[in-house]
Amino acid sequence: MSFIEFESVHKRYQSGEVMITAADGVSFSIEKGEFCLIVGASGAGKSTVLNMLGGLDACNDGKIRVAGRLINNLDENALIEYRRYDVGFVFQFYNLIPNLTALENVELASQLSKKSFDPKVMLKKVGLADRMDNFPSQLSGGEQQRVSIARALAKNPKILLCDEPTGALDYKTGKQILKLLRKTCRETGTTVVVITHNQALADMADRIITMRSGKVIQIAVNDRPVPVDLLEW
Amino acid sequence: MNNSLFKDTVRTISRTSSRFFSIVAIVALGISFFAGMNATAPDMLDTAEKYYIDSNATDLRIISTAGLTDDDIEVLKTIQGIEQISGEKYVDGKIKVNGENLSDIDGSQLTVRVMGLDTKKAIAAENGEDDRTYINRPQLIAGNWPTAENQCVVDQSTLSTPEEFQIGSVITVEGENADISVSLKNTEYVITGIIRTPVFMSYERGATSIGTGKLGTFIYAPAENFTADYYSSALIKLAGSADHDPYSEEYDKFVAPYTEFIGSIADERLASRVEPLKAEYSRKVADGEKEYAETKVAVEKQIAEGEQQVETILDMAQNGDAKLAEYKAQYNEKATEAGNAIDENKLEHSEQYAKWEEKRNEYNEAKALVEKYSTAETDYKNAVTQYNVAKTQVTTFSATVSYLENLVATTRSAVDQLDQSQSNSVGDIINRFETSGLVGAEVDEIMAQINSLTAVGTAEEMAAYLEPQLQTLEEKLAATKADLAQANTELADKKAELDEAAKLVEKLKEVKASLAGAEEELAAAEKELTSAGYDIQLGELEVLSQLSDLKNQITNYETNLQLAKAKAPTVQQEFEEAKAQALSKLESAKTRLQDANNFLLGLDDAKWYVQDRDEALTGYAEYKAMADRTRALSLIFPWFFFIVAALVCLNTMSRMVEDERTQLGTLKALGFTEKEIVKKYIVYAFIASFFGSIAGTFLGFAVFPTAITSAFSIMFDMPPVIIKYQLKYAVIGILLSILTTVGASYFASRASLRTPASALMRPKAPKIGKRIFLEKFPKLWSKLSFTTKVTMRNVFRNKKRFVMAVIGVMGCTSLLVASFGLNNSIETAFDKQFTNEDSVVCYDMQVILNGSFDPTITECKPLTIVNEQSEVGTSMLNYMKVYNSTSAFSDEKMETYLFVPEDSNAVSDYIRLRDSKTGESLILPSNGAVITQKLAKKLNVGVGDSVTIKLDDRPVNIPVAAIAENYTFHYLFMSKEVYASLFGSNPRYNYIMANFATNISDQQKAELSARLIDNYEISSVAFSTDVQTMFENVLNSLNFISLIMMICAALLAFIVLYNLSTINIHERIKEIATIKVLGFTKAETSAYIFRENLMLTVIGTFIGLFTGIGLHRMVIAVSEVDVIMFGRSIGVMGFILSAVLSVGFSLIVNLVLKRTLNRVNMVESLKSIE
Repeated sequence: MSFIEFESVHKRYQSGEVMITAADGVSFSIEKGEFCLIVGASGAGKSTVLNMLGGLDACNDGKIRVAGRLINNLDENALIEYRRYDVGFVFQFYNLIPNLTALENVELASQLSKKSFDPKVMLKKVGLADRMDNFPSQLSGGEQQRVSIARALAKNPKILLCDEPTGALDYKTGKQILKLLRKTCRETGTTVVVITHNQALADMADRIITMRSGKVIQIAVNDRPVPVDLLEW
Repeated sequence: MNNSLFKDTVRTISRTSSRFFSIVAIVALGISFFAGMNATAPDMLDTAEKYYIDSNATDLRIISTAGLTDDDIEVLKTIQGIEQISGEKYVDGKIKVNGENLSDIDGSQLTVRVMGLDTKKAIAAENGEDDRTYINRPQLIAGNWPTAENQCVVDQSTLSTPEEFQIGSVITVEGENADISVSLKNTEYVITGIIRTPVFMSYERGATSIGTGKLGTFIYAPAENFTADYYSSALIKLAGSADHDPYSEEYDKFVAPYTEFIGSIADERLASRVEPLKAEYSRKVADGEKEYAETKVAVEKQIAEGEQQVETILDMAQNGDAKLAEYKAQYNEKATEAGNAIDENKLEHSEQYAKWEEKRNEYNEAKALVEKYSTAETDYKNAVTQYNVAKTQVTTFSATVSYLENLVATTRSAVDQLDQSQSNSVGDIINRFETSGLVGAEVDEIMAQINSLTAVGTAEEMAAYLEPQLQTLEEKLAATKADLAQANTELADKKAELDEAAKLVEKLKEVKASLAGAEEELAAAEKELTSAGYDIQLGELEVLSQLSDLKNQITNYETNLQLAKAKAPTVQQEFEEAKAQALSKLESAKTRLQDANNFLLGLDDAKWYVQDRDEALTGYAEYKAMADRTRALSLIFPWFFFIVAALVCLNTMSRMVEDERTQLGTLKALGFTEKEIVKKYIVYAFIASFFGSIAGTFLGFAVFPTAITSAFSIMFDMPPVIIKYQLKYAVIGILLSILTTVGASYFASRASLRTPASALMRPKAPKIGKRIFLEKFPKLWSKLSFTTKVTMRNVFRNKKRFVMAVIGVMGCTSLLVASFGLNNSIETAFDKQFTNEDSVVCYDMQVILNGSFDPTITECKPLTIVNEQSEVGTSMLNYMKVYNSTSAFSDEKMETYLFVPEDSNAVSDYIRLRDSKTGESLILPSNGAVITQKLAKKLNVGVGDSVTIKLDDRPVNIPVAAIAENYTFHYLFMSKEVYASLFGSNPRYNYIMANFATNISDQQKAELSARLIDNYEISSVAFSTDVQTMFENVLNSLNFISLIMMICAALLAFIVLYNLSTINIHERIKEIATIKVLGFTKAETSAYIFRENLMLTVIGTFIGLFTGIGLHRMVIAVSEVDVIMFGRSIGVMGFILSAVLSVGFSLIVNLVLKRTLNRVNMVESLKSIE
């Protein structure tokens, strides 16, 4: 049994009078410790998948398993627990609390988990040892995203979900972030799922799931992932 | 406005409805305060004006101490400018309801003014008739106007009207030391209706000449009840007075000349009134003196008799049993005695009978004897006859014998002669016989023989013849002699017989005499026997009647004894009561006499008092003062709400502008002008504030005047306040609110509009994180928990939000503090005055006396009665009288109790006099009076100054020696020595203060009270606990204003916090979504956000607790009743409750918003910054 399993997952939204099917029988699995990329164009349903995987949203139909546990039918409290202990989330727009310093932002997460890591160590690991006491507004986008990653990892999650982590960053910074994610995956064995519309990133992943119109159109396993530095887009 | 922009505005409103409504609400709240409070004073004055017009309230009132006559009225009527004038009658007395005595709120006996009511006019006025001559019309609130003379209507003042004044209750009016029925036809009235009258608007009813001098309440009874032929006062309506607003200066100016002019004609009018009265009253005084003297004699006699009777009854009750036993013994003795006497009589009777029987026998014997000798007389007579017969025989025989002897002898001789002579012729022999004188047949025969012989014969023949004759004669003689002898014997026998018969007759006489004696004796014996018989009967009868008399006596005595015994326990008291009544009658006769005398004396100083409305309508001026105070308050209060409204608006609009930053940029990029773009926000704000202010205006106009006047309603009995939608304040309010909100939105959008479109369309840079002041103290900061740090930073970083929240919560807390403080102030006053351990008042009971006493002259009996009660521990006599006090340093005229204790040293057992500043105990000084603190404040006097009271128009200046702590009413305490030196006489004590020996239950109190009131000398009893009711009334009437304040507080808190919180949540929706994604539980998420609210609330509350003190002061200044000095403290509980409630409100807001928070979709976190 795979670490993450999607089994004919459907997700429908009612938007006005129109019913939108965001996920239309999505099935895939991701192994533990894999760096998985979900790729697709805008509206392909990748974010929906990520939301459901992250416990942010429930599916209408189908089964989602994480570490052998069905999460699609968890009650709200169990979901919160799931997010709290099992999931780390990295946002496209970093979503740092503007009123907290970098360190505090990490602390905010680390205090949630019993098995959490020291926030300072985490910030050092993402290379922000000397920016710890800065507020988000004093940090560059890449730095903010690194804080965001540090925050996500501080909880010592089982899976790290990243929503277009480089979407708001420039090329160079984006690469740095991807490198960091890749490194984290390798070093901590955390299963990392990244969604992106950028096909060019596919080569760096262990597994690439391509989506279109709410459906998985391709699942590729890449035995030889290319180092991030070699990627070009 | 561009059509699509307009659509956008409308849609924005519907999309952001909660924000929109928070602006509407805060504007409504602010405007309602502004409009409502500003409208209150004008509404109050309008209400008053309409009330004065509707009730045709008098412009002037003339009170004459000598009364006003119809002539006076006529003269006054002629004064130009006087439109209407009507006489008014009233009588002051004391009052009972349903037979119960009543106490005034100050514990003194309730006095009443019975006002004359023209029921016809009242009913006509009720039916809409505007009879201008009907001045000071009472208005019927409930029930009906009186239709009979013994009906009345009353008012319903919270403070002054007894609770017992209900429709259907029976009021009894009594005079003080006088029979009020002299002045009133009826003294019992049934309440048929509830009224209000401009004459008594204030809870203070003015002064009276009876009781403690404070008029307690009033009733309106049909004028027909008044017997006086003069008016107590005259009411005057001036032509055109309605053209001037009451309370206006022009009105005062309009009235003043009339006052002056009427004053100027007073002396002239009085003169014509006073002279006849003087004559009348001189006579009355003379009559009164006579009546008094007579009454005195009668009363003294009555008392003496009564005493005697009591003594008899008591003696009987005590010794009656013994006496009864004695009587019974006597009876028994007498009965025995009587029995004995009867027996004795019977014995005598029998003796008498025996005697009688003896006598009867004797009599019978005598009678028998008499009967026996009854023939004696006949026998005697017979004997006499027989004797006489015998005697006659004897005589006859004797005569015959002698005849025969002579004849024989003659014959013999003749024969012899013949023998011898034979010569003797016949003649001789015849001669012989003839000469012998013998007569008889023999002689005749012989003669005849002889004669015959002579012729034939001669002597021998003669002899031959005579010789046989002689023989025969002889034989005859011998026979006759024998007959004679026999006759003699028989005579002797007869004589013997006669003698014997005579003896028997003698005997009969004797026997008869003895019979007569016996008869007499028998009669006597019989009489005695009869009398003895009678004696028995009579004796028996007499004895029986005596006995029955005795028995009756005993029975009567027994009955009397029972009666006496039954009466004995009460007779003394009854007598005492009767005595007291008689004495009081005497006293009242004296009082009447004195009154008449005083009146007579007073006539010299008779006066007209010309009163304007200030004096004629109690509460007239005070009401204006209250309106003014309200106006003052309305100048401060609403601004606070305006500020809050402006802040809420600013905050909301800024947020909106922020929210629509991109749209703003787009519009700008599309080429709309700044004006056009800003219009949207201005229109948005305008619509919100327009609706808000309209709603607020209506709400405020409706609620505030009502709420505020309802709080004043304990002080003023006025018609419901007229709610006028005063355009002025509505327009000002609406303009102000629109200006504020529109200004705020312009201010909010201005900054954004200055930003170039391109920048606007880019996501706004994240807010700059900043360290707060507290972080400069790392030692302190590091000790704070992580979440606290976050919260603190969030709280202090957003200054706008901080200020707004703090001000809102502060306002809320202040209102709560003021509201609780208001209650506490009254309670504190109450506690400090009555219930604390060291409360000012520490007596348990006040006993108001019927009449007054100077113990140096007479014994004060009620004091003895009070002391006799087992519940009573200690007691003291007091003098209490109400005066209006004034001072040179103030215009105020204060109703003040002059209080003189009999024993200056014992005062502290009943009232704790403490210096108002130092709290040190005060002893009644010898150099002046102790006055209470609020009086000192109101009169603006200090130690060394003096206050003035008027004693019968004579001002008495009382030096102030000390100022004492006190919370209810105003007092002047002085020692009796000071009183005597100031007033020139000893005080006449008229009430008693007492302390209980131990704590007693309410029921025991009621019993004690009933027992005391049973005594004639005691007029009423009040317990200091009774005063609690009054304070409850005050509190209750302030409850509405408290409630309004609390509602406003809650609204303020809700609106501000809700507005802030929704905006805060909205602003940080992404942050919230993010932390949710991070795995924050619901509780953690709400805590994360609401901790800030809570902290803001705590800060706002903290500040509010202080600002609340100020607000409380302002509120108190407006709502304080003159007679109560509200405490100035709010009380720990008040602060705690205010804080708890403020935080509670905030928690409620949090609770409501928790749902919003829960609904925040985590997917939001994925969105880009807009």
